[in-house]
Amino acid sequence: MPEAASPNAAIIAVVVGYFAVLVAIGWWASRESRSVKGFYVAGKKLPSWVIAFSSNTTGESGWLLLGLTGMGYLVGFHALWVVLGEVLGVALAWAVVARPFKEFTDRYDAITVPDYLTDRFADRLHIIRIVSAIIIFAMVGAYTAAQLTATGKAFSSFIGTSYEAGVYIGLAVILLYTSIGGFKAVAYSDVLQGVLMFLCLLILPIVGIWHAGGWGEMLAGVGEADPALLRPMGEHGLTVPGVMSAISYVGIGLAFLGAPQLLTRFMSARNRGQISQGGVLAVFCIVVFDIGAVLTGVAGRYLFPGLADHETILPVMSTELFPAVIAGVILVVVLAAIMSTVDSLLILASSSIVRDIFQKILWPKAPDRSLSLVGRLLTIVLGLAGLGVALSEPRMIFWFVLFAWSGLASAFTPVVLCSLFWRRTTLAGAVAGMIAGFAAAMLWVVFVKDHFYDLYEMIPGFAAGFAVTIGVSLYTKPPPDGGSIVDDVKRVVGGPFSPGEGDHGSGG
Amino acid sequence: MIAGLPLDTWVLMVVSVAPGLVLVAMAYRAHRGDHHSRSSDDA
Repeated sequence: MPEAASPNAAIIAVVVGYFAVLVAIGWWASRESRSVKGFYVAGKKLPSWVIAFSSNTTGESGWLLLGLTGMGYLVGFHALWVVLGEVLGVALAWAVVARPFKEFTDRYDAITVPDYLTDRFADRLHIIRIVSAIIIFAMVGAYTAAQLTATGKAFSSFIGTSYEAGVYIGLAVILLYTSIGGFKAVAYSDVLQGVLMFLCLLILPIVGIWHAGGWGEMLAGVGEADPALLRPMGEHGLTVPGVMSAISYVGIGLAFLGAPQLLTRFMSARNRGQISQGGVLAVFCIVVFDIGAVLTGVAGRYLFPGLADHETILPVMSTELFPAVIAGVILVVVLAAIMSTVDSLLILASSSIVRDIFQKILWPKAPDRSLSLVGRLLTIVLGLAGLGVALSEPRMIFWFVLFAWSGLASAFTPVVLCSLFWRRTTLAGAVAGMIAGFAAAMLWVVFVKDHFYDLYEMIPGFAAGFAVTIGVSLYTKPPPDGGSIVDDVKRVVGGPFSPGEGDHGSGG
Repeated sequence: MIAGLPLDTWVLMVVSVAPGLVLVAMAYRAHRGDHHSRSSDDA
């Protein structure tokens, strides 16, 4: 009788199969990636379902599966405030921001967010490109390193490899399919990764609740251990710390309105009609993602109380409640969440150098294929830089993710929103607003956060970004054309809930 | 308590998901006929 395969062998087989599929997607997408536009926005040809899954998986990262489940474990239903922020953030992004943003970027033939802002404000000195490149580089470096850290931890907790081996393996696969296939490979692999995440977060809480003896049994047990876990305001109740905690949780979702790695998805859509369809799918998925993660954490609290690290609840549940092959699939889902973010960040940082610095400032006459090649090489270099940080500082993980998430969003979201909807926004206002939003978020973390109820840095980052963009714009000379393009775009695309002149067929 | 949870927790759960779903459904209804494209590759 042949010897039964060990649990690790089953998990490794599933992981190897998944990696092979990713590399195949990279190879399949490689034809599109031979031009700069093809490499960075897939030629602006993506359908609704691809941009919907791609934006969700890029936005969520390993934080959803390890961080939010851990939050559900730690604070119970108080974590629903995260769900509120994320669902609203995604819905507003698709319903309000995406259509005018797509129209603007198509008019300017922009393929990066700095590209769009530069043309929108006629920035002939390329100040926006340079400031953007610095901010994107700094934040993507931290974000990528944190995600690689999560890769190493996932491998070691599921299979028992060394932390370093997990980081090396994860990065090698990401670099292979991303540098070959560019944005198209990233977007389509996001679909695969998103479907896996969706199924995992649909099934895991159901199995967890079933193992707990049912919904009533689970809640009774959790409430007995700590009644605050069942309350919306958690352990603080309706107090200043409780309200600040809820605001911080809601604030996490605000980034969906204007983080550059998410806006790129809207830019890459085939047309505006894809956005109308994609929004419904994106919000439905994010509801399942977030509610599933919180309920998984709550069920985990009942089943496995007293974990030393609450962010390990998902690996613990998957290895304790499922056979080895399914645990392997769940490891793949964790890796999928991480990889879908890292690949997008690498493409974002690479584009900010190749498109915004090389093609638009330093080397405007360079052949498209040469720039595309530079983009591939730069993607590899950026990944290796993240590897260096991840290997030297393995302790940082989700704190750094939230830090980089807020830094990118605080720098870009207020400025992008003003540029889309407020005709009086000026170049000086946009540049000052980017710097102020970014600086406020960073300074808040370093000097204020610990002394002010741990309020999430994106709140002051957004406040400073909007205040400075509006204040400096009002103080400086109005745009030469009076910002008439804002009105023109609004006329064509309509409002969030009213059709514009560009709509065909019957509207609402 | 309703089905093991306080009423305000149920309210938060509904409020956290319903407005977002309504927003995108309304936007889809308003713009479902829009298939306009300026992308040169798609024209």
